Amino acid sequence: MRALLADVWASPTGRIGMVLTAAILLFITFGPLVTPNPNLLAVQAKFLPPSLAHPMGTDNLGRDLLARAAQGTRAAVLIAVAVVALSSVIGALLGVIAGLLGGWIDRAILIIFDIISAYPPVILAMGIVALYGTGASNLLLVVTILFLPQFGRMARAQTLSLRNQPFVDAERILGLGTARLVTRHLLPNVVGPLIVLASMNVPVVITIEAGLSFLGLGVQPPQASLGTLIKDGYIYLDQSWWPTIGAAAILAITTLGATLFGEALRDASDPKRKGGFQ
Amino acid sequence: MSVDPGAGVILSDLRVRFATRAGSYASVRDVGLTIGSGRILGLVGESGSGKSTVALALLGLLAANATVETGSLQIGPDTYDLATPGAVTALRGRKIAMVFQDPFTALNPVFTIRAHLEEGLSRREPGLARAEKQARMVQALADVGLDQPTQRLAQYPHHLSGGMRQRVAIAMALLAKPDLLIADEPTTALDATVEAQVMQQICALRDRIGCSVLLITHSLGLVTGYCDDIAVMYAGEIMEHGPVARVAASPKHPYTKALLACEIGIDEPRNPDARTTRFRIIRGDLPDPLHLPTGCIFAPRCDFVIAACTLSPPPLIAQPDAPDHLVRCLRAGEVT
Amino acid sequence: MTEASITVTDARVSFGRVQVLKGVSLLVPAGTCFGIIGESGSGKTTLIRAILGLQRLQSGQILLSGKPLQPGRTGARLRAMTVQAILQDSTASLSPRRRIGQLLDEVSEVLAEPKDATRARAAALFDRLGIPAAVTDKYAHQISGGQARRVCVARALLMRPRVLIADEPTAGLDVSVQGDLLNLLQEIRVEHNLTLVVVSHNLAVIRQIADQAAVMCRGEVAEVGDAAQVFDAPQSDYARSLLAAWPRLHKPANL
Repeated sequence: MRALLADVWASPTGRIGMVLTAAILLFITFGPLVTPNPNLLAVQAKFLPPSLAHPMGTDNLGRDLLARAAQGTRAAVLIAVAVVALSSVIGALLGVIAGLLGGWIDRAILIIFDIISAYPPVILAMGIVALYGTGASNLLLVVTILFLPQFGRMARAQTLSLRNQPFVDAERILGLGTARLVTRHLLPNVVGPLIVLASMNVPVVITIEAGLSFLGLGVQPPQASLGTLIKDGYIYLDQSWWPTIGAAAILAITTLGATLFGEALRDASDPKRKGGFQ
Repeated sequence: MSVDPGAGVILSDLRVRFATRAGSYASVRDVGLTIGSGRILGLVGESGSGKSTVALALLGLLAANATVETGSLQIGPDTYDLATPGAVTALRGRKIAMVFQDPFTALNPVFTIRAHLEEGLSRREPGLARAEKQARMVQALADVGLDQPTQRLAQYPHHLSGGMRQRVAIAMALLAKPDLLIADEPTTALDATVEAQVMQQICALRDRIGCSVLLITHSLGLVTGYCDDIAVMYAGEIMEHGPVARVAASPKHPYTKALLACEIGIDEPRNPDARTTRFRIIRGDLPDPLHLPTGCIFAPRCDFVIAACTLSPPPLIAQPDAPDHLVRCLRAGEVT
Repeated sequence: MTEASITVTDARVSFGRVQVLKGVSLLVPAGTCFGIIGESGSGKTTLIRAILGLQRLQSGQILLSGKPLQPGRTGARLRAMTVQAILQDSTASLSPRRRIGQLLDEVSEVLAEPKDATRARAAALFDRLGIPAAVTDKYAHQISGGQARRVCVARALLMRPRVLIADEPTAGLDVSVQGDLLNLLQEIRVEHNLTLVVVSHNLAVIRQIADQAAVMCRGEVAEVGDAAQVFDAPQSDYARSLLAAWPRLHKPANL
């Protein structure tokens, strides 16, 4: 893992991704501690341009935008990490079981994946929100389900190639049961590529969260989200342009950093992309 | 290296350097081979001996982290400098043909047998009439012993067994009419009965077009069975080079002698109590290519080692009674 | 006649429409070395996979030490305590993400033996087989091929099996080291009173170490009997052609 991160650092885009990701992590960890209460109303101070007291200015209710951006980014990153963690773990388990056992279990799991992939994400999200209401937990559920097939299919493909490896036979010959075979010998070999896929999916989830929140289907007020910040700023664009630009810039930096980092991680973990060195 | 005027192909002073994370080292050092026209030279060596690197250097197909430092290839009257990038590219498919180890990947699965044969034929003899081309290809497949050659042309590689695919590869070589055929472990993936058939086809091809054949193998059985000359490689150097009949009957290098002793013969007497049967091995491991011994590279594993062996690398020199039998050992005269 | 260690009766296996085992019957007497030879596609690998419980039979029966094996976990455990195997590629048959010591600990789980007891037996075996003790802290890719082969042998022996199956023990090995594993098998065979089943395409090896040998061809047993008989006076045409095709050393060059 350490060598992998060193390889990421060695590539120029990977280094940019690592720096941006580290900056965002610092921002969401310490941002809420050093900024004012993001929900503190101050109507007399609305639409203030950026200043020392309010580095990103204030919104239509006089709330500090830097504080709201920190809160929103933190929510977005936490949701993204939770979604990716949940869907990768559940997806990996389903995928390994499908690949190892084969037969009708394999077919049933694949059909479930196909059904999920067949729905356009936003339509599916709208449907679930219409049925169960809006909110962060429903958003989490929707996006987790949406991402299951990707992780599941990858874990299944990995397992299919592992299944014929001599060590799987060797463990069976030793008398090891299926549960131990999966948890001890198969999952650890699937984890590497899954982590890479997960890191590449974090920015995708952040964008989806922002999009759904922009549409009012995600995080609900007064809780801040990058999506709602952009939307609120958009409504008052004629009175102040900085709320939209600021929130959009943070969204761009977050997704760009995570994407560059994920891509560099993928390249570094793929032996075929490294030169001819033995 | 003594130059035999009648030799078809002479490789001399081949030195290949590999760059790795741990450092760079010469994996093949001062390798010379002499293959007379119409003769088969068996290049024998164990894993890590560098025998496949020699083949890839001859074809200009080395990996990106390998460079040919020195080496020249003489084919008939022409000499090519292997250290010049691209020097042998034009020779592939014309003067040099190749039969690879894995018959399952050496043919392109999306092309028919006809496409494989046609490619080489069109390079060798452009502007050949269609009917003539067809006749040549059918004849080539028949020559390597494939039944229904006309129908085979329309088939894809996956329709054929491993042995049949190697026959197609030999047919491709036959159409290219090379001066040098390189066969890199051509039968390793095949069963013994098929192995014999494929080797007979390689011999037949040699007889038909009179080319020199370089057979790269780890099997001494194949070399003593089918080759005229033998070259034994160990850790990147030629240890012994000479006529098979001579070398197999009385090896002059301790490594050759040990290798021959390790081979388990099918006709050797059988121990009445099988439980007590034991096999010979060569003790020790290959030297680390980054830290080669100062003297003879085989000295740490050698049964004949003396103090002088560890001082400086012994030269490859001709035996007093046979100028074509070269041995890299100080005690060659004493090995019996 | 001694007791039978493995009895295979009319074993049949098909993959799709291809019959891989067409009714194979074999009897491996306890305490002998039984060689199974055949070319690729002969069904020898499928046969031993069936004996090891990795391949289900369509029909027929396999008895280990006279007893049929029960399906499920108990059956798998009993089978593992009776028959163990060394696969062709030793390094690849050690799970890549677990340390050698962790792989040895699995033996104690399957045997329901205290970890310390297994480790103590492993230490003694490592000593006997010449494996450095430090190997237990390493991963498969960090040890040499020779050490990996010995670790696989040690792990199999820790199960205290009565039968040891060696699948293509010399395939992919250089001539200078193939004898190393064969000598080891010969020694442990006597020391642990094992029935040894060696599956190989290498006729010369089987001829030297087997008491009895079976020649398989296209899913059937072409010939079976005492090794001396099978190799020196083969009865079947197939065995004769196989022996004739085997490359011979010192044969005069192709003149």
